[in-house]
Amino acid sequence: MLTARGWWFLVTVGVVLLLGVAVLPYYTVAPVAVALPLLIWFAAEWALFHARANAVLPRLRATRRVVQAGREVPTVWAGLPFEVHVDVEHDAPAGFPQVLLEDRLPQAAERVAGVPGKFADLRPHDPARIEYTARCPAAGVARFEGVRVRVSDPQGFFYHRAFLRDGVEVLVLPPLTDEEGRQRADKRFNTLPPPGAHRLRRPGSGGELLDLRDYRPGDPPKMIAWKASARRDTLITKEYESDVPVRCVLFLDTSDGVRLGPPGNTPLVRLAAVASGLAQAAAAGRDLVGLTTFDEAGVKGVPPARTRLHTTGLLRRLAEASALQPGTGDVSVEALTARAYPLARELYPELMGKRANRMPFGRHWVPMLDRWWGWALLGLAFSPWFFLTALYFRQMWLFRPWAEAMAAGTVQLAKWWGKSQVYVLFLPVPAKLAFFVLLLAAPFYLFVSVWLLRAAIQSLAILFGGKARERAKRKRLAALLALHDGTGPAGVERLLQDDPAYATRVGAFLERHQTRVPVPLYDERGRFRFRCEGKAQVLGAAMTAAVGRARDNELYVILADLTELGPALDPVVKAARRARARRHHVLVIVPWPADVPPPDEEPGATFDPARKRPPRSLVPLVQAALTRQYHTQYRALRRSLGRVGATVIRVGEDDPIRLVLDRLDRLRGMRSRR
Amino acid sequence: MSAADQPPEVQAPDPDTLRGRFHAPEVRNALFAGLAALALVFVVLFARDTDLGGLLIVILGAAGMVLRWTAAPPLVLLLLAYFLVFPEGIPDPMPRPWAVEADRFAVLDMVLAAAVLVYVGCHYRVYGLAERAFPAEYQVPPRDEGRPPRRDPATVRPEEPVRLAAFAVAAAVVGQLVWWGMTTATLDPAGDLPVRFDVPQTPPRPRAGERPAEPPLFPAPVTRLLLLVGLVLFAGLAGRVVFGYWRLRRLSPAEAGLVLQEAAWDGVRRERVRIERWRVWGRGRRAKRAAKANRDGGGR
Repeated sequence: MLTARGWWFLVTVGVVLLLGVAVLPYYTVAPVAVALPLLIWFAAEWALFHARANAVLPRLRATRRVVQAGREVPTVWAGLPFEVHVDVEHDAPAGFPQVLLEDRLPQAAERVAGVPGKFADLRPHDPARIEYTARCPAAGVARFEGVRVRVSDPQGFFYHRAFLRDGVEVLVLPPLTDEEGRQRADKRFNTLPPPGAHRLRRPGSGGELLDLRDYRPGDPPKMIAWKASARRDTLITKEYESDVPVRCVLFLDTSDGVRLGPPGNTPLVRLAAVASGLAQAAAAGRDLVGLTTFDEAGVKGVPPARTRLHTTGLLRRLAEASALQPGTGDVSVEALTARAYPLARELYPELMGKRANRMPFGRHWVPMLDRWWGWALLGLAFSPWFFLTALYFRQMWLFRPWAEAMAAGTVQLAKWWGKSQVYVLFLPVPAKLAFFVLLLAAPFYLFVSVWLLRAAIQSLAILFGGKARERAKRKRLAALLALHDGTGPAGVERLLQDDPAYATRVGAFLERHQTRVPVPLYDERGRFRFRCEGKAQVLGAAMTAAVGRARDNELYVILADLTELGPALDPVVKAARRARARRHHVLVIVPWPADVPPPDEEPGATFDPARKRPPRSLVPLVQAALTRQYHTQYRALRRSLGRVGATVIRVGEDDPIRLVLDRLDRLRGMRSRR
Repeated sequence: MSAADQPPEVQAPDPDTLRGRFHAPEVRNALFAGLAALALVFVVLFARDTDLGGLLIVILGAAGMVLRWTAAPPLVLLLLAYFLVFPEGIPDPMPRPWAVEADRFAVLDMVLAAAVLVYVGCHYRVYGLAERAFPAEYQVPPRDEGRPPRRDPATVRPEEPVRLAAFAVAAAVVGQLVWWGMTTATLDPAGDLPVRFDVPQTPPRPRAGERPAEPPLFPAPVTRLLLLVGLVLFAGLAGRVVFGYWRLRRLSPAEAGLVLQEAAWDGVRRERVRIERWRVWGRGRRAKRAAKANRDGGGR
């Protein structure tokens, strides 16, 4: 590609050379003597640049290593820095002196130290290394797209950009809970159960005294409470509590509603972090932990287990869930193209260039012939030729309408001129013919004029308008996506004609490359689009199934945004009631929006109709009303779930996992002391 | 040795300041080479009695290099061409019709050409090293680069300035050769070879009974212009063919697949348009019927 400075230099040299060759030699040849070497130099640089680009760029290879804690890792931990080493080399016989290599930082990562780019003199078999340190603040998937390569000649006349696609996805596991995730060790009971066992207020073989009762024949003598027996003068037997394992099942909401928000700070990420803390804390206490992710479409479950491998698998599932993005179903095609096109240009420069992926000019005007009016206009344009053909072949029946029109025209003409029809008839034949042709063709010319005007406007719009650019962008994207899918020319045309198919495919492309699109939050009737009522049904069914498989002592932790469901919450309430009836425990953790004050705080301004002066802005009033509405919904949720024995807690943006674990621990204590 | 005895560490200046931009030796080398070339340009122009023009060119060129004006080289070129035609700066030229033949391989012209080439090369190198190495791109997502990328001085090869100077001299000589060829050639479209060299400028006087030689088909300026355009077009076409074929040989599988897909799409797109529109239309009609059926069912 010739750069702007290359163009200016070439134009200047060209002007001087043309003048010097054609005009100036009559006075001096010095301008030619100066301009010709400059042109030769420019041509030599052009040839050298293209030779190097053709020789080196196709042979560039990138090798990436992600290092954390001193060793190469396939996954990284959120919150902890990791190093990225990228080696770029080639085996071409020539080198490239001016190359800028830039590693594309994943959307989920932030740079901590070093620079993810390097200016290099790429020589054969001499790798250029990029080293930097990054960090992923939240769990998810860090996708390293590859290395952007920008090459130029030393003068900057020519420029080329390529992309070494890498496509490495590194799972970012939720942070290790470390100190805050450990189980409480402060002594609140006489004996602490061994790891993996919890006290259950039922008679069993535990170590904590549950009750004293009258002796029954068959009770082992060692269970007799001798002091109590002596005091009451009858045999009394000691009963101990049970030591049972707790099976903790986490239900994680992954519906579109919790995927909204800035990358790395969505409610889903917060819930996944809490779930990770719970899972690790439970695993540290040798409890069995399971995970069920659900959305409106269905559930995916991992049965409870307590091995280290199982815990790692849970963390992977949580990382994958954290990386989910809201669906782009209702996003306009234009908005999707506006996001996807620059991304595709950056990642696939050779496939999006005009040389390989072009938009034929006929594509702009030929589709007009697919409409009926296009053919009508075409027929109208050619109608005089039909008449002439009929005249030539003496098909007079085809000519009759024209003859009748001529007769009518004669009468009309005679009226206009105030002459007799005979006078009109005796006019010179060419004049009459011309007049009648004009008269007959007046509507035709009117149509043609309108059509030509419209075509001219369309042509201008095609050449310079936004729609043409939009169409060309869409075509290039469609060709790229069809190539990826292997659907060929049929796929290209389908993506061009079918808006829903195009939106779905482009949405998947953006999600794959972790690029978020602003989604409309409200539908055309002003309703929130992400209430996701269907997930309550799915969650209820999943809980019911879990209860059916459950054993003695289960803890169901539901991490879901259920606040705005309202009456649609019934399946969850029923499932919680069913679980409580089997003496299991249900804990619901709700993500609390960052911009909504806690429910015990006053939401703010209220509208007082008695005030004489209206408020300056409606925004605080609307915000306060929405906050109040949210508080009401949250209280309703607590009431409806609390009525069946489930506990609802909310987790804010800044709530540490320890806080949630403390609450959970208190719940366990309540349960065991009940 | 105590800490007080140690020499103070030399701190690199801020790279965004003027001093910082020219801190690297490679940048300074290019700057001084460019200034030296400008000085040579001044000397040549001074020898041609164009002292004022030479001074203006040096001032403009030096300021452009130090202040990194990207438009300075074209302006210097235009200014130079002007003062070469009008040495006094006044547009009152002295016709020198003999200059075409008399000024072939003039040393001053060749020195001037080499100096200008070195100046232009050094100017753009300084610009790339101290200001911006690559053009801005508007079709890719913006990155938080902070400042435009500059060429790393460490990538400047030691032989680069020498190579530039040698190439400048060679280009000046080759330029004179090309100019010699253009001024001695005659176009003869009807001949076996359309171009003939070493044609005498003044045709020999015809002998008795001999027909006088025909004048050339094109006048000399037109011949030179046509030769120049033909040369540029032919060289450009040849380069395009060679590099285009090379690039085709180096296509990646994805690029080759896209090329084939485009060719196939060109052949079938009219038919595919009809099919896809029909499919979309059918789906819309089905949705309408379903909506109507739902409405009717709901009404009952």
